[in-house]
Amino acid sequence: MKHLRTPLTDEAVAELRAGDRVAISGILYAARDATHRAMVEALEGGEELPVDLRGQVIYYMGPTPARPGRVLGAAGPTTASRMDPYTPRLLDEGLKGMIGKGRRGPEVVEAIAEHGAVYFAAIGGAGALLSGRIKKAEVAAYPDLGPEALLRLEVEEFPAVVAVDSKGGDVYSRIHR
Amino acid sequence: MAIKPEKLLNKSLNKKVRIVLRNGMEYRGILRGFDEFMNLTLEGVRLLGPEGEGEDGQDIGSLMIKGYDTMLIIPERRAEFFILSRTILATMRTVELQRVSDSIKEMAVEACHDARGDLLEALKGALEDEDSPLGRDILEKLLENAEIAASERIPYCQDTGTAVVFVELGEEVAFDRPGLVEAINEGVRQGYQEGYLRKSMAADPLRRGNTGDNTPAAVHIEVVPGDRLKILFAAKGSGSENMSALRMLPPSAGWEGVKEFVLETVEKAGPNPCPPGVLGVGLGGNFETCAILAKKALYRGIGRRNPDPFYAGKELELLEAVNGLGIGPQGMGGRTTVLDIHIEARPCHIGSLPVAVNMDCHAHRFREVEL
Repeated sequence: MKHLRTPLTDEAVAELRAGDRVAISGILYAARDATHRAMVEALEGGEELPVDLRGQVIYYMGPTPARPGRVLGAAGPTTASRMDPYTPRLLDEGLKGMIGKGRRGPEVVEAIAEHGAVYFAAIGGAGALLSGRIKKAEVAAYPDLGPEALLRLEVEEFPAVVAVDSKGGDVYSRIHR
Repeated sequence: MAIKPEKLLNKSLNKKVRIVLRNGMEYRGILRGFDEFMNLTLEGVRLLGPEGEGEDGQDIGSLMIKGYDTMLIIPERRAEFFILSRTILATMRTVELQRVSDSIKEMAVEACHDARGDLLEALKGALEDEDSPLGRDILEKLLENAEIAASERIPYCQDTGTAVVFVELGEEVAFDRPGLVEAINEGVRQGYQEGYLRKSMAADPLRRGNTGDNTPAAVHIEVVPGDRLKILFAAKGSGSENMSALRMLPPSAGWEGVKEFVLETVEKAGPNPCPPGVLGVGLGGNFETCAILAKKALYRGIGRRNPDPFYAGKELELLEAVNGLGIGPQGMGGRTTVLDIHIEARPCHIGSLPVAVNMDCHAHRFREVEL
Protein backbone atom coordinates (compact mmCIF):
# COMPACT_ATOMS: atom_id res chain seq x y z
CA MET A 1 0.00 0.00 0.00
CA LYS A 2 1.37 3.40 -1.05
CA HIS A 3 0.25 6.53 0.78
CA LEU A 4 -0.29 9.59 -1.38
CA ARG A 5 -1.06 13.20 -0.55
CA THR A 6 -2.68 15.66 -2.95
CA PRO A 7 -1.79 17.81 -4.81
CA LEU A 8 0.28 15.10 -6.50
CA THR A 9 3.90 15.73 -7.41
CA ASP A 10 5.52 14.47 -10.61
CA GLU A 11 7.89 12.36 -8.50
CA ALA A 12 5.12 10.63 -6.56
CA VAL A 13 3.17 9.91 -9.73
CA ALA A 14 6.24 8.58 -11.58
CA GLU A 15 6.69 5.88 -8.93
CA LEU A 16 3.20 4.46 -9.33
CA ARG A 17 2.61 1.32 -11.39
CA ALA A 18 -0.68 -0.13 -12.67
CA GLY A 19 -2.03 -2.54 -10.06
CA ASP A 20 -0.51 -0.72 -7.05
CA ARG A 21 -2.85 -0.25 -4.11
CA VAL A 22 -2.86 3.31 -2.77
CA ALA A 23 -4.45 5.34 0.03
CA ILE A 24 -5.01 9.00 -0.90
CA SER A 25 -5.29 11.88 1.56
CA GLY A 26 -5.90 15.58 0.95
CA ILE A 27 -8.17 17.49 -1.42
CA LEU A 28 -10.13 15.87 -4.27
CA TYR A 29 -12.52 17.62 -6.65
CA ALA A 30 -15.71 15.69 -7.37
CA ALA A 31 -17.13 16.13 -10.88
CA ARG A 32 -19.39 14.15 -13.22
CA ASP A 33 -20.61 14.48 -16.81
CA ALA A 34 -22.31 17.90 -16.64
CA THR A 35 -19.45 19.40 -14.60
CA HIS A 36 -16.92 18.27 -17.17
CA ARG A 37 -18.97 19.70 -19.99
CA ALA A 38 -19.20 23.03 -18.12
CA MET A 39 -15.43 23.16 -17.49
CA VAL A 40 -14.46 22.32 -21.07
CA GLU A 41 -17.04 24.77 -22.45
CA ALA A 42 -15.54 27.46 -20.20
CA LEU A 43 -12.05 26.74 -21.57
CA GLU A 44 -13.27 26.75 -25.16
CA GLY A 45 -14.97 30.08 -24.50
CA GLY A 46 -11.64 31.50 -23.39
CA GLU A 47 -12.64 31.62 -19.71
CA GLU A 48 -10.59 30.54 -16.70
CA LEU A 49 -11.54 27.38 -14.82
CA PRO A 50 -13.26 28.02 -11.47
CA VAL A 51 -10.42 26.15 -9.72
CA ASP A 52 -6.72 25.73 -10.50
CA LEU A 53 -6.36 22.09 -11.55
CA ARG A 54 -2.54 21.96 -11.49
CA GLY A 55 -1.47 18.89 -9.49
CA GLN A 56 -5.09 18.20 -8.52
CA VAL A 57 -7.14 15.00 -8.61
CA ILE A 58 -10.72 14.77 -9.91
CA TYR A 59 -13.02 12.14 -8.45
CA TYR A 60 -15.82 11.03 -10.81
CA MET A 61 -18.64 10.91 -8.33
CA GLY A 62 -22.18 12.15 -7.68
CA PRO A 63 -23.26 11.35 -4.10
CA THR A 64 -26.64 10.52 -2.60
CA PRO A 65 -28.04 13.36 -0.44
CA ALA A 66 -26.48 13.49 3.06
CA ARG A 67 -28.65 12.56 6.01
CA PRO A 68 -28.68 15.29 8.68
CA GLY A 69 -25.36 15.23 10.57
CA ARG A 70 -23.38 13.54 7.80
CA VAL A 71 -20.81 15.02 5.41
CA LEU A 72 -22.15 13.13 2.38
CA GLY A 73 -24.31 10.15 1.53
CA ALA A 74 -23.00 7.21 -0.50
CA ALA A 75 -20.02 8.38 -2.54
CA GLY A 76 -18.57 5.70 -4.82
CA PRO A 77 -17.00 6.27 -8.25
CA THR A 78 -18.94 6.45 -11.49
CA THR A 79 -17.88 5.06 -14.91
CA ALA A 80 -14.78 6.98 -15.99
CA SER A 81 -15.04 6.44 -19.75
CA ARG A 82 -17.99 8.85 -19.92
CA MET A 83 -15.50 11.59 -19.05
CA ASP A 84 -13.04 10.52 -21.79
CA PRO A 85 -14.10 13.20 -24.31
CA TYR A 86 -13.18 15.95 -21.79
CA THR A 87 -10.12 14.44 -20.11
CA PRO A 88 -7.27 15.37 -22.52
CA ARG A 89 -8.33 19.05 -22.36
CA LEU A 90 -8.22 19.02 -18.55
CA LEU A 91 -4.85 17.25 -18.55
CA ASP A 92 -3.60 20.19 -20.64
CA GLU A 93 -4.65 22.41 -17.71
CA GLY A 94 -2.37 20.49 -15.37
CA LEU A 95 -4.82 17.93 -13.96
CA LYS A 96 -2.62 15.22 -12.44
CA GLY A 97 -4.94 12.47 -11.34
CA MET A 98 -8.41 11.03 -11.78
CA ILE A 99 -10.40 8.54 -9.74
CA GLY A 100 -13.24 6.57 -11.29
CA LYS A 101 -14.15 3.05 -12.27
CA GLY A 102 -13.61 1.05 -15.43
CA ARG A 103 -11.43 1.30 -18.49
CA ARG A 104 -10.28 4.48 -20.26
CA GLY A 105 -10.19 4.87 -24.02
CA PRO A 106 -6.84 4.59 -25.86
CA GLU A 107 -6.67 8.37 -26.48
CA VAL A 108 -6.99 9.00 -22.75
CA VAL A 109 -4.40 6.38 -21.82
CA GLU A 110 -2.07 8.05 -24.31
CA ALA A 111 -2.80 11.53 -22.93
CA ILE A 112 -2.20 10.29 -19.37
CA ALA A 113 1.23 8.96 -20.40
CA GLU A 114 2.02 12.15 -22.32
CA HIS A 115 1.27 14.34 -19.30
CA GLY A 116 2.78 11.98 -16.72
CA ALA A 117 -0.57 11.76 -14.96
CA VAL A 118 -2.38 8.84 -13.32
CA TYR A 119 -5.84 7.27 -13.30
CA PHE A 120 -6.96 5.43 -10.18
CA ALA A 121 -9.86 2.98 -9.91
CA ALA A 122 -11.87 3.03 -6.70
CA ILE A 123 -14.27 0.20 -5.92
CA GLY A 124 -17.42 0.78 -7.94
CA GLY A 125 -20.47 0.41 -5.76
CA ALA A 126 -18.68 0.67 -2.42
CA GLY A 127 -20.50 3.95 -1.77
CA ALA A 128 -21.02 3.53 1.97
CA LEU A 129 -17.43 2.51 2.69
CA LEU A 130 -15.93 5.34 0.60
CA SER A 131 -18.27 7.92 2.13
CA GLY A 132 -16.58 7.28 5.47
CA ARG A 133 -13.21 8.37 4.05
CA ILE A 134 -14.57 11.79 3.08
CA LYS A 135 -14.16 14.16 6.00
CA LYS A 136 -15.37 17.42 4.46
CA ALA A 137 -17.38 18.41 1.40
CA GLU A 138 -18.28 21.82 0.01
CA VAL A 139 -19.46 23.21 -3.30
CA ALA A 140 -16.47 24.69 -5.16
CA ALA A 141 -18.28 25.84 -8.31
CA TYR A 142 -21.36 25.38 -10.52
CA PRO A 143 -23.92 25.19 -7.67
CA ASP A 144 -26.66 25.39 -10.33
CA LEU A 145 -25.74 21.86 -11.47
CA GLY A 146 -27.24 20.48 -8.25
CA PRO A 147 -25.98 16.93 -7.65
CA GLU A 148 -23.40 17.51 -10.40
CA ALA A 149 -21.91 20.68 -8.88
CA LEU A 150 -18.11 20.75 -8.58
CA LEU A 151 -17.35 19.67 -5.01
CA ARG A 152 -14.17 20.15 -2.99
CA LEU A 153 -13.65 17.09 -0.79
CA GLU A 154 -11.19 16.45 1.99
CA VAL A 155 -10.34 12.75 2.18
CA GLU A 156 -8.30 10.54 4.47
CA GLU A 157 -6.78 7.24 3.38
CA PHE A 158 -9.10 6.97 0.40
CA PRO A 159 -8.51 3.45 -1.02
CA ALA A 160 -7.88 2.99 -4.74
CA VAL A 161 -5.84 1.00 -7.24
CA VAL A 162 -3.57 2.49 -9.92
CA ALA A 163 -5.46 1.61 -13.10
CA VAL A 164 -3.44 3.61 -15.67
CA ASP A 165 0.06 4.73 -14.68
CA SER A 166 2.19 7.59 -16.01
CA LYS A 167 3.92 5.23 -18.48
CA GLY A 168 0.60 4.15 -19.96
CA GLY A 169 0.53 0.83 -18.09
CA ASP A 170 -3.13 -0.27 -17.85
CA VAL A 171 -4.36 -2.71 -15.21
CA TYR A 172 -7.34 -3.70 -17.36
CA SER A 173 -5.29 -4.51 -20.46
CA ARG A 174 -3.38 -7.19 -18.51
CA ILE A 175 -6.51 -9.20 -17.87
CA HIS A 176 -6.95 -12.31 -20.04
CA ARG A 177 -6.14 -10.57 -23.31
CA MET B 1 -71.53 21.82 -11.37
CA ALA B 2 -73.62 20.53 -8.52
CA ILE B 3 -76.80 18.62 -9.31
CA LYS B 4 -79.27 18.53 -6.45
CA PRO B 5 -80.53 15.03 -5.49
CA GLU B 6 -84.17 16.08 -5.89
CA LYS B 7 -83.49 17.07 -9.48
CA LEU B 8 -82.16 13.58 -10.25
CA LEU B 9 -85.05 11.97 -8.38
CA ASN B 10 -87.51 14.13 -10.31
CA LYS B 11 -86.21 12.49 -13.49
CA SER B 12 -87.20 9.08 -12.09
CA LEU B 13 -90.63 10.17 -10.90
CA ASN B 14 -93.34 7.83 -12.24
CA LYS B 15 -90.68 5.56 -13.67
CA LYS B 16 -89.42 2.13 -12.63
CA VAL B 17 -86.59 2.29 -10.08
CA ARG B 18 -84.58 -0.18 -8.07
CA ILE B 19 -84.06 0.56 -4.38
CA VAL B 20 -81.17 -0.99 -2.43
CA LEU B 21 -81.46 -0.73 1.34
CA ARG B 22 -78.58 -0.55 3.78
CA ASN B 23 -79.32 -4.10 4.89
CA GLY B 24 -78.92 -5.35 1.29
CA MET B 25 -82.64 -5.86 0.55
CA GLU B 26 -83.71 -4.80 -2.92
CA TYR B 27 -87.07 -3.60 -4.25
CA ARG B 28 -88.32 -2.65 -7.69
CA GLY B 29 -91.32 -0.38 -8.26
CA ILE B 30 -92.68 2.86 -9.71
CA LEU B 31 -91.48 5.94 -7.85
CA ARG B 32 -94.55 8.01 -7.02
CA GLY B 33 -93.14 10.56 -4.58
CA PHE B 34 -90.34 11.69 -2.24
CA ASP B 35 -89.84 14.35 0.39
CA GLU B 36 -86.97 16.39 1.79
CA PHE B 37 -85.85 13.41 3.95
CA MET B 38 -85.68 11.15 0.87
CA ASN B 39 -88.60 9.15 2.19
CA LEU B 40 -90.01 7.39 -0.87
CA THR B 41 -93.42 6.17 -1.92
CA LEU B 42 -93.58 3.37 -4.46
CA GLU B 43 -96.36 1.52 -6.29
CA GLY B 44 -96.38 -1.86 -8.00
CA VAL B 45 -93.50 -2.90 -5.75
CA ARG B 46 -91.81 -6.27 -6.02
CA LEU B 47 -89.56 -7.48 -3.22
CA LEU B 48 -86.43 -8.86 -4.87
CA GLY B 49 -84.84 -10.02 -1.61
CA PRO B 50 -81.26 -9.58 -0.37
CA GLU B 51 -78.90 -8.68 -3.22
CA GLY B 52 -81.77 -9.10 -5.68
CA GLU B 53 -81.61 -12.88 -5.31
CA GLY B 54 -85.10 -13.50 -6.67
CA GLU B 55 -84.98 -11.26 -9.70
CA ASP B 56 -88.67 -11.78 -10.47
CA GLY B 57 -89.58 -10.98 -6.89
CA GLN B 58 -92.75 -11.04 -4.91
CA ASP B 59 -95.62 -8.58 -5.46
CA ILE B 60 -96.14 -6.44 -2.37
CA GLY B 61 -98.24 -3.58 -3.76
CA SER B 62 -97.55 -0.07 -2.47
CA LEU B 63 -94.78 0.84 -0.09
CA MET B 64 -93.24 3.73 1.80
CA ILE B 65 -89.49 3.46 2.39
CA LYS B 66 -87.66 5.63 4.92
CA GLY B 67 -84.86 7.73 3.42
CA TYR B 68 -82.63 6.74 6.31
CA ASP B 69 -82.71 3.06 5.31
CA THR B 70 -82.00 3.68 1.63
CA MET B 71 -78.54 3.16 0.22
CA LEU B 72 -79.12 3.41 -3.54
CA ILE B 73 -81.91 4.53 -5.87
CA ILE B 74 -81.20 3.35 -9.42
CA PRO B 75 -83.34 3.87 -12.52
CA GLU B 76 -84.37 0.33 -13.54
CA ARG B 77 -83.09 0.86 -17.10
CA ARG B 78 -79.60 1.24 -15.52
CA ALA B 79 -80.00 -1.67 -13.14
CA GLU B 80 -78.16 -4.19 -15.34
CA PHE B 81 -74.90 -2.28 -14.84
CA PHE B 82 -75.40 -2.31 -11.12
CA ILE B 83 -76.13 -6.05 -11.13
CA LEU B 84 -73.04 -6.75 -13.24
CA SER B 85 -70.69 -4.68 -11.07
CA ARG B 86 -72.17 -6.23 -7.93
CA THR B 87 -71.47 -9.70 -9.30
CA ILE B 88 -67.91 -8.80 -10.23
CA LEU B 89 -67.21 -7.10 -6.91
CA ALA B 90 -68.46 -10.12 -4.99
CA THR B 91 -65.71 -12.26 -6.54
CA MET B 92 -62.90 -9.66 -6.26
CA ARG B 93 -60.42 -9.07 -3.46
CA THR B 94 -60.00 -5.38 -2.79
CA VAL B 95 -56.54 -3.98 -2.11
CA GLU B 96 -55.95 -0.40 -1.01
CA LEU B 97 -53.61 1.43 -3.36
CA GLN B 98 -52.05 3.10 -0.33
CA ARG B 99 -50.58 -0.32 0.54
CA VAL B 100 -48.98 -0.49 -2.91
CA SER B 101 -47.33 2.92 -2.39
CA ASP B 102 -46.19 2.03 1.11
CA SER B 103 -44.65 -1.27 0.06
CA ILE B 104 -42.76 0.32 -2.86
CA LYS B 105 -41.42 3.02 -0.55
CA GLU B 106 -40.26 0.45 2.02
CA MET B 107 -38.68 -1.81 -0.60
CA ALA B 108 -36.81 1.14 -2.18
CA VAL B 109 -35.27 2.24 1.10
CA GLU B 110 -34.51 -1.28 2.30
CA ALA B 111 -33.07 -2.47 -1.02
CA CYS B 112 -30.65 0.47 -1.16
CA HIS B 113 -29.36 -0.04 2.40
CA ASP B 114 -29.64 -3.71 3.33
CA ALA B 115 -27.89 -6.23 1.13
CA ARG B 116 -29.95 -9.38 0.66
CA GLY B 117 -28.87 -12.45 2.63
CA ASP B 118 -28.26 -14.54 -0.49
CA LEU B 119 -26.00 -11.77 -1.87
CA LEU B 120 -23.89 -11.68 1.30
CA GLU B 121 -23.58 -15.47 1.26
CA ALA B 122 -22.54 -15.39 -2.39
CA LEU B 123 -19.89 -12.71 -1.73
CA LYS B 124 -18.50 -14.71 1.19
CA GLY B 125 -18.43 -17.84 -0.96
CA ALA B 126 -16.61 -15.93 -3.71
CA LEU B 127 -14.04 -14.67 -1.20
CA GLU B 128 -13.26 -18.27 -0.23
CA ASP B 129 -12.74 -19.27 -3.86
CA GLU B 130 -10.90 -16.17 -5.11
CA ASP B 131 -7.14 -16.53 -5.69
CA SER B 132 -6.31 -13.02 -6.90
CA PRO B 133 -5.01 -10.87 -4.00
CA LEU B 134 -6.52 -7.72 -5.51
CA GLY B 135 -9.79 -9.58 -6.08
CA ARG B 136 -9.84 -10.81 -2.48
CA ASP B 137 -9.16 -7.30 -1.22
CA ILE B 138 -12.11 -5.98 -3.26
CA LEU B 139 -14.48 -8.72 -2.07
CA GLU B 140 -13.53 -8.02 1.55
CA LYS B 141 -14.20 -4.32 1.03
CA LEU B 142 -17.57 -5.09 -0.56
CA LEU B 143 -18.60 -7.08 2.51
CA GLU B 144 -17.39 -4.23 4.72
CA ASN B 145 -19.34 -1.79 2.55
CA ALA B 146 -22.53 -3.83 3.02
CA GLU B 147 -22.04 -3.79 6.78
CA ILE B 148 -21.50 -0.01 6.90
CA ALA B 149 -24.49 0.61 4.62
CA ALA B 150 -26.80 -1.42 6.87
CA SER B 151 -25.56 -0.13 10.21
CA GLU B 152 -24.95 3.53 9.37
CA ARG B 153 -27.92 3.85 6.96
CA ILE B 154 -25.83 5.08 4.04
CA PRO B 155 -26.91 3.66 0.70
CA TYR B 156 -24.77 0.70 -0.41
CA CYS B 157 -24.03 2.58 -3.66
CA GLN B 158 -24.58 6.21 -4.65
CA ASP B 159 -26.29 5.15 -7.88
CA THR B 160 -29.60 4.25 -6.32
CA GLY B 161 -30.85 3.54 -9.80
CA THR B 162 -34.00 3.50 -11.85
CA ALA B 163 -36.94 2.00 -9.96
CA VAL B 164 -38.07 -1.11 -11.85
CA VAL B 165 -41.42 -2.54 -10.77
CA PHE B 166 -43.09 -5.74 -11.93
CA VAL B 167 -46.68 -6.23 -10.82
CA GLU B 168 -48.18 -9.71 -10.96
CA LEU B 169 -51.80 -8.72 -10.77
CA GLY B 170 -54.37 -11.45 -10.10
CA GLU B 171 -57.49 -11.17 -12.24
CA GLU B 172 -59.58 -11.25 -9.06
CA VAL B 173 -57.85 -8.27 -7.47
CA ALA B 174 -59.64 -4.90 -7.42
CA PHE B 175 -58.16 -1.67 -6.09
CA ASP B 176 -60.08 0.69 -3.85
CA ARG B 177 -59.58 3.53 -6.33
CA PRO B 178 -58.09 4.12 -9.80
CA GLY B 179 -54.40 4.95 -10.27
CA LEU B 180 -52.17 1.87 -9.88
CA VAL B 181 -49.23 3.35 -11.82
CA GLU B 182 -49.47 6.66 -9.98
CA ALA B 183 -49.51 4.77 -6.66
CA ILE B 184 -46.29 3.02 -7.70
CA ASN B 185 -44.67 6.33 -8.64
CA GLU B 186 -45.85 7.89 -5.39
CA GLY B 187 -44.07 5.09 -3.49
CA VAL B 188 -40.90 5.74 -5.49
CA ARG B 189 -41.15 9.49 -4.88
CA GLN B 190 -41.52 9.05 -1.12
CA GLY B 191 -38.90 6.32 -0.81
CA TYR B 192 -36.24 8.26 -2.70
CA GLN B 193 -36.99 11.49 -0.84
CA GLU B 194 -37.35 10.15 2.69
CA GLY B 195 -34.61 7.54 2.26
CA TYR B 196 -32.01 10.11 1.12
CA LEU B 197 -31.57 8.27 -2.17
CA ARG B 198 -30.19 9.90 -5.30
CA LYS B 199 -32.67 11.15 -7.87
CA SER B 200 -31.12 9.81 -11.05
CA MET B 201 -33.82 10.20 -13.71
CA ALA B 202 -33.09 12.59 -16.58
CA ALA B 203 -36.30 14.31 -17.70
CA ASP B 204 -35.55 13.76 -21.38
CA PRO B 205 -33.04 11.47 -23.11
CA LEU B 206 -31.55 14.27 -25.24
CA ARG B 207 -32.49 17.49 -23.46
CA ARG B 208 -31.57 15.80 -20.12
CA GLY B 209 -32.49 17.73 -16.95
CA ASN B 210 -33.84 15.82 -13.94
CA THR B 211 -37.39 14.80 -13.00
CA GLY B 212 -36.45 15.63 -9.41
CA ASP B 213 -38.04 12.66 -7.66
CA ASN B 214 -36.64 9.58 -9.44
CA THR B 215 -39.93 8.92 -11.22
CA PRO B 216 -41.14 7.55 -13.50
CA ALA B 217 -40.51 3.95 -12.51
CA ALA B 218 -40.21 1.34 -15.26
CA VAL B 219 -43.49 -0.51 -14.66
CA HIS B 220 -44.41 -3.92 -16.07
CA ILE B 221 -47.88 -5.21 -15.24
CA GLU B 222 -48.68 -8.88 -15.85
CA VAL B 223 -52.21 -10.14 -15.36
CA VAL B 224 -52.21 -13.60 -13.76
CA PRO B 225 -55.01 -15.95 -12.65
CA GLY B 226 -56.25 -15.86 -9.07
CA ASP B 227 -56.49 -13.19 -6.39
CA ARG B 228 -52.85 -12.68 -5.46
CA LEU B 229 -50.96 -9.44 -5.93
CA LYS B 230 -47.19 -9.65 -6.07
CA ILE B 231 -44.99 -6.59 -6.40
CA LEU B 232 -41.34 -6.89 -7.38
CA PHE B 233 -39.05 -3.90 -6.93
CA ALA B 234 -35.51 -3.23 -8.13
CA ALA B 235 -33.19 -0.24 -7.85
CA LYS B 236 -31.22 -0.73 -11.04
CA GLY B 237 -27.96 1.13 -11.53
CA SER B 238 -26.88 2.43 -14.92
CA GLY B 239 -23.29 1.12 -14.82
CA SER B 240 -24.51 -2.43 -15.38
CA GLU B 241 -27.62 -1.49 -17.36
CA ASN B 242 -25.44 0.32 -19.93
CA MET B 243 -23.47 -2.89 -20.58
CA SER B 244 -26.59 -4.98 -21.27
CA ALA B 245 -27.33 -6.17 -24.79
CA LEU B 246 -29.87 -7.92 -27.00
CA ARG B 247 -29.33 -9.81 -30.22
CA MET B 248 -31.74 -11.47 -32.63
CA LEU B 249 -29.90 -14.69 -33.49
CA PRO B 250 -30.90 -17.05 -36.29
CA PRO B 251 -32.37 -20.30 -34.88
CA SER B 252 -29.44 -22.20 -36.40
CA ALA B 253 -27.07 -20.44 -33.95
CA GLY B 254 -28.56 -22.60 -31.17
CA TRP B 255 -27.11 -22.87 -27.69
CA GLU B 256 -23.55 -22.31 -28.94
CA GLY B 257 -24.61 -19.00 -30.48
CA VAL B 258 -26.35 -17.95 -27.28
CA LYS B 259 -23.34 -18.86 -25.18
CA GLU B 260 -20.99 -16.99 -27.49
CA PHE B 261 -23.17 -13.87 -27.32
CA VAL B 262 -23.31 -13.95 -23.50
CA LEU B 263 -19.53 -14.36 -23.23
CA GLU B 264 -18.95 -11.60 -25.77
CA THR B 265 -21.26 -9.26 -23.82
CA VAL B 266 -19.56 -9.93 -20.49
CA GLU B 267 -16.09 -9.60 -21.98
CA LYS B 268 -16.93 -6.32 -23.68
CA ALA B 269 -18.40 -4.99 -20.43
CA GLY B 270 -15.23 -5.81 -18.49
CA PRO B 271 -15.05 -3.69 -15.33
CA ASN B 272 -17.95 -1.35 -16.19
CA PRO B 273 -20.92 -3.25 -14.73
CA CYS B 274 -19.18 -3.41 -11.30
CA PRO B 275 -18.47 -7.14 -11.14
CA PRO B 276 -19.11 -9.49 -9.48
CA GLY B 277 -22.82 -9.16 -10.16
CA VAL B 278 -25.63 -11.27 -11.56
CA LEU B 279 -26.66 -11.92 -15.18
CA GLY B 280 -30.27 -12.19 -16.30
CA VAL B 281 -30.54 -13.97 -19.64
CA GLY B 282 -33.77 -13.87 -21.63
CA LEU B 283 -34.20 -16.48 -24.37
CA GLY B 284 -37.01 -16.52 -26.90
CA GLY B 285 -40.11 -14.35 -27.02
CA ASN B 286 -39.65 -11.44 -29.40
CA PHE B 287 -37.61 -8.22 -29.40
CA GLU B 288 -39.31 -6.63 -26.39
CA THR B 289 -40.48 -9.64 -24.38
CA CYS B 290 -36.97 -11.11 -24.50
CA ALA B 291 -35.53 -8.01 -22.81
CA ILE B 292 -38.26 -8.07 -20.16
CA LEU B 293 -37.55 -11.78 -19.52
CA ALA B 294 -33.88 -10.97 -18.93
CA LYS B 295 -34.78 -8.25 -16.46
CA LYS B 296 -37.25 -10.45 -14.62
CA ALA B 297 -34.70 -13.27 -14.38
CA LEU B 298 -32.61 -10.99 -12.14
CA TYR B 299 -35.26 -11.12 -9.39
CA ARG B 300 -34.63 -14.83 -8.78
CA GLY B 301 -32.61 -15.57 -5.63
CA ILE B 302 -28.87 -16.15 -6.04
CA GLY B 303 -28.17 -19.88 -6.12
CA ARG B 304 -31.70 -20.76 -7.26
CA ARG B 305 -31.81 -22.67 -10.53
CA ASN B 306 -34.35 -22.60 -13.34
CA PRO B 307 -36.99 -25.27 -12.48
CA ASP B 308 -36.50 -26.82 -15.94
CA PRO B 309 -33.47 -29.15 -15.54
CA PHE B 310 -32.45 -28.42 -19.15
CA TYR B 311 -32.03 -24.70 -18.41
CA ALA B 312 -30.66 -25.35 -14.92
CA GLY B 313 -27.82 -27.23 -16.63
CA LYS B 314 -27.30 -24.41 -19.13
CA GLU B 315 -27.09 -21.90 -16.27
CA LEU B 316 -24.30 -23.84 -14.61
CA GLU B 317 -22.45 -24.33 -17.89
CA LEU B 318 -22.64 -20.60 -18.59
CA LEU B 319 -21.59 -19.71 -15.04
CA GLU B 320 -18.42 -21.75 -15.40
CA ALA B 321 -17.64 -20.26 -18.81
CA VAL B 322 -18.21 -16.66 -17.71
CA ASN B 323 -16.13 -17.03 -14.56
CA GLY B 324 -13.45 -18.64 -16.73
CA LEU B 325 -12.99 -15.31 -18.54
CA GLY B 326 -10.82 -14.08 -15.66
CA ILE B 327 -12.34 -10.59 -15.52
CA GLY B 328 -12.71 -10.85 -11.75
CA PRO B 329 -13.91 -8.40 -9.07
CA GLN B 330 -14.08 -4.87 -10.53
CA GLY B 331 -12.52 -6.22 -13.72
CA MET B 332 -9.08 -6.39 -12.13
CA GLY B 333 -8.61 -10.09 -12.68
CA GLY B 334 -9.75 -13.15 -10.81
CA ARG B 335 -12.24 -16.02 -10.80
CA THR B 336 -15.26 -14.08 -9.57
CA THR B 337 -16.82 -12.28 -12.52
CA VAL B 338 -20.45 -13.13 -11.77
CA LEU B 339 -22.15 -14.52 -8.66
CA ASP B 340 -24.93 -16.20 -10.59
CA ILE B 341 -26.69 -16.46 -13.96
CA HIS B 342 -30.44 -16.87 -14.35
CA ILE B 343 -31.98 -17.93 -17.66
CA GLU B 344 -35.66 -17.46 -18.44
CA ALA B 345 -37.06 -18.89 -21.68
CA ARG B 346 -40.34 -18.68 -23.57
CA PRO B 347 -41.67 -19.70 -26.98
CA CYS B 348 -40.56 -17.65 -29.97
CA HIS B 349 -41.20 -17.33 -33.71
CA ILE B 350 -40.03 -20.25 -35.88
CA GLY B 351 -37.61 -17.85 -37.59
CA SER B 352 -36.15 -16.25 -34.44
CA LEU B 353 -33.84 -16.89 -31.54
CA PRO B 354 -33.80 -13.68 -29.50
CA VAL B 355 -31.29 -13.47 -26.64
CA ALA B 356 -30.99 -10.64 -24.12
CA VAL B 357 -28.36 -10.22 -21.42
CA ASN B 358 -29.28 -7.87 -18.59
CA MET B 359 -26.25 -7.25 -16.40
CA ASP B 360 -26.46 -6.34 -12.74
CA CYS B 361 -23.78 -5.14 -10.33
CA HIS B 362 -22.80 -6.49 -6.92
CA ALA B 363 -25.30 -4.17 -5.16
CA HIS B 364 -28.08 -6.36 -6.63
CA ARG B 365 -31.03 -4.49 -5.10
CA PHE B 366 -34.06 -6.67 -5.79
CA ARG B 367 -37.04 -7.13 -3.50
CA GLU B 368 -40.55 -8.59 -3.65
CA VAL B 369 -43.69 -8.56 -1.57
CA GLU B 370 -47.19 -10.10 -1.70
CA LEU B 371 -50.13 -7.93 -0.74
